[in-house]
Amino acid sequence: MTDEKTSDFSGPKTADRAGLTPPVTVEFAPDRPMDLNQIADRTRGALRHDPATRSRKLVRLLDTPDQRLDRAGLRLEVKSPLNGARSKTGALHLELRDRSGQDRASLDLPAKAPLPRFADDLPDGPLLELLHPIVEMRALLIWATLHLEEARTALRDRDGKIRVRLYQVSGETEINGVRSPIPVRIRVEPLKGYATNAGAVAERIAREFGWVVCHEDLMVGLRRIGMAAEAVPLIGITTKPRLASDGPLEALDTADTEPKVKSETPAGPAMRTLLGQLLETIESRRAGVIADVDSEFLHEFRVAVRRSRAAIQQLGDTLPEAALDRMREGYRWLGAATGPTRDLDVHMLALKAHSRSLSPKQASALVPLGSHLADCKTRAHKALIRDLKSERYETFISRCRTFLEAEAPGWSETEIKRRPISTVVGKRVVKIYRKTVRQGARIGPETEAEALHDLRKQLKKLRYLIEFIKNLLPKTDTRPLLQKLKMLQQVLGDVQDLEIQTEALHRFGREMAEAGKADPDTLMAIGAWAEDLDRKRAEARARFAEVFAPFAERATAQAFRATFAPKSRSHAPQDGETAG
Amino acid sequence: MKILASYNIKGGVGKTATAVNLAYVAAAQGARVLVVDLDPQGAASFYFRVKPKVKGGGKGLVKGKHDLEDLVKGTDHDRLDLIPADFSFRNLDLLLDAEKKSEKRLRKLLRPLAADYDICILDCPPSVSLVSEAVFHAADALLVPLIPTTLSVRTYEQLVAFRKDEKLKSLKLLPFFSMVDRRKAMHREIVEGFPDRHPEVLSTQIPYASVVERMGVERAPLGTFAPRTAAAAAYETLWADIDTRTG
Ligand SMILES: Nc1ncnc2c1ncn2[C@@H]1O[C@H](COP(=O)(O)OP(=O)(O)OP(=O)(O)O)[C@@H](O)[C@H]1O
Ligand SMILES: [Mg+2]
Repeated sequence: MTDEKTSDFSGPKTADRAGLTPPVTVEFAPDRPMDLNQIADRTRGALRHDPATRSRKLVRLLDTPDQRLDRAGLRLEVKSPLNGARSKTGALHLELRDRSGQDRASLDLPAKAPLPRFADDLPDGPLLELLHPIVEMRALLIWATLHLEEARTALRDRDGKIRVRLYQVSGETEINGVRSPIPVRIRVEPLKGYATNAGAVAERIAREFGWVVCHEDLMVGLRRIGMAAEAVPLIGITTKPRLASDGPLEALDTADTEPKVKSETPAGPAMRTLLGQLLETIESRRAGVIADVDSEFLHEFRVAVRRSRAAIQQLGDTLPEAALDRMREGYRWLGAATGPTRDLDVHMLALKAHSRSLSPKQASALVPLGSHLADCKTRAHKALIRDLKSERYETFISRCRTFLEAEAPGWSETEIKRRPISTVVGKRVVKIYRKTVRQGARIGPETEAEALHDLRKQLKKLRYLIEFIKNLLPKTDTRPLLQKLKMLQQVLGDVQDLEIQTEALHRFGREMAEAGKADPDTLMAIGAWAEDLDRKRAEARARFAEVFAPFAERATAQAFRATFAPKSRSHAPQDGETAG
Repeated sequence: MKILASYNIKGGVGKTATAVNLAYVAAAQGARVLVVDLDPQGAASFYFRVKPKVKGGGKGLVKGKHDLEDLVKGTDHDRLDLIPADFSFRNLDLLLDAEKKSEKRLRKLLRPLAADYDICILDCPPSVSLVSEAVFHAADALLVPLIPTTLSVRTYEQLVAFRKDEKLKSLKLLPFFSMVDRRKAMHREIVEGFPDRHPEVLSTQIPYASVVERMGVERAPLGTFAPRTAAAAAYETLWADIDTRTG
């Protein structure tokens, strides 16, 4: 009988020395596959083992295009058994695990069920609750498929209780069509409360066979394999393969300033770099937009377009005029071309969120609205695909590239004369900040919404300018300012977006009624929702003064000046650019 | 974490069979489940083949001396863990008596585990005691197996009355019939008449079946060795009922 006292495992010290730390699963990397029965028999101590059973498994690993699960230290596995005998009852087993391999939530789906594409395709339950806040609106894509051969056995005590589980796993990974072998692993899995037994077995394995413990996390291993195979990116979407150890993939709003750009880089070359990066963002999102993987591709595509426009509008004079017109025109076109589809995405996301807050009966009244939106979206998306695959698009992108990458000495010489990017942008920031404060100060409780919308537009410009040079400045300085700005933007955004959304709902209702696609229940549900949105809009409007005050107050104004246009940096007051 | 207690003052009515089988069903469906064996006889621990031994015993547990987490044992089933009984749980009553606010103690004790489990099932010993009160305060619902006899019905009514007295309004009572033998006229009568006075009764009944007794030989939940029997199916439906009723 093996328990704490009688086992020949000599305590935690030895386990530490061998690098075996129960209660965590320990894995060994033997040089070749071996009969698991033999391994069990030589290392079981006083436990006895079940005859090893073999199975083949297909494990698909899902993550969002921006790898949110990986960044949250999680992995989502979908397992399907491949044993002919079991496939009849076999189900899809979804499992969310953390880095230590601990099961956080799981779910069985019928074997023929489609894989969930979005978190909210999952039935209510722990898995949905854990996944949804992380995954949000992003699609779950298969980024790797594992074809596993697994042998398993259990070591039991005299009562027949399992104390330790032993596995031998090998197989192949398939990442974007590239298959690579997974080296054999022996896994010693402790059961909670019986870590001592697992520790003892692991130690005997180390002693008997001399195999090394492998510490590499499965995900890290897979990414390494994926990179070695030069895996083409997820369904043709260019996201660079990353190592988990690379740290989080940078979100769009912080990824734009490359280390190439320094504070003292002249504005011209800095702008070219910036516009070049934004162009690559646009290009890298295009395939995802065309495939309609999820709404974020288009959203990020549009953000990059808007930023490019803002950059040109604000800082165009740092670049030669010749090419600017063409770029202005091109970005304006892209903004307009993507608008309708994005609007429908927004309505569909809002409908999803709203439906979750309703009872199933209430939500079902809105189903026809969902289909109507989906129809509109399909049409808009088709038109968008035409644009994104057009000659015009290709020409525009390639011309921009040529222009931005050009090393033409003529105009780079004029650029060089320009002042540092941080000075140029910083002064604009202060200037626009002051303008927005004056604008906002004229807004009272009764002021027309139009004035708030105008202010919102200016604040967007301000935000983009700050984002351009944010990474060149100390975070501690910019963060509090950005926070105040974001709060204000949030409220103004609600005021305008909820108004637009309410109007759109009325329009959809009319369209559906005219087409005979809505019964009274649906129209009432749409009306009720519109009222709800209008109430939220009014609440947001009422909050304006409260969020404007901290943005406009003296201390903020001073901080803006000190951060973006410090005295020490504005050494050349005579160069014509005043911050007034 | 939803806390459910398998409870009846009467002994031998199927409390442990309920706790063990429901825990198995819930875990098999994906929930993370913890069974706490509060009965010094350790029947639930026995069914899961876990030795009914707690280091330091009940005394340590109630005083909160060691982390409850350290007492958790993984069963042979995925996502299903157990805190085994200990013979010194016999002292639990005494200890609870000595503690201030002892009736809140068990609830507090379980709180650190709330993040690790979706469902916690307490398997209670058959007695009216301080353990009962602690259970009433800790649980969101009492699952009350009833053998269809007049005596059972009477003890259930006492429980209903007790719950009113003690201002345990948020505690749900979920009675259901267990060991039902449809061949017995009295069983049929009681099962049919009971819902009129107690509409809270769950509609699923657990039939009398020898396969349930075999759990003692197999030392495992029904689902592992007799998944296609009527009794196993009944526990599955019972779990679905309970799951909806406890939202
Ligand atoms: N549905 C059933 N059909 C047949 N036998 C059953 C059934 N349910 C339980 N039993 C048997 O009845 C006996 C008592 O069951 P169980 O231990 O579950 O009850 P209990 O209420 O927990 O008892 P105690 O009060 O002693 O803790 C056991 O031998 C069990 O195998
Ligand atoms: Mg019992």
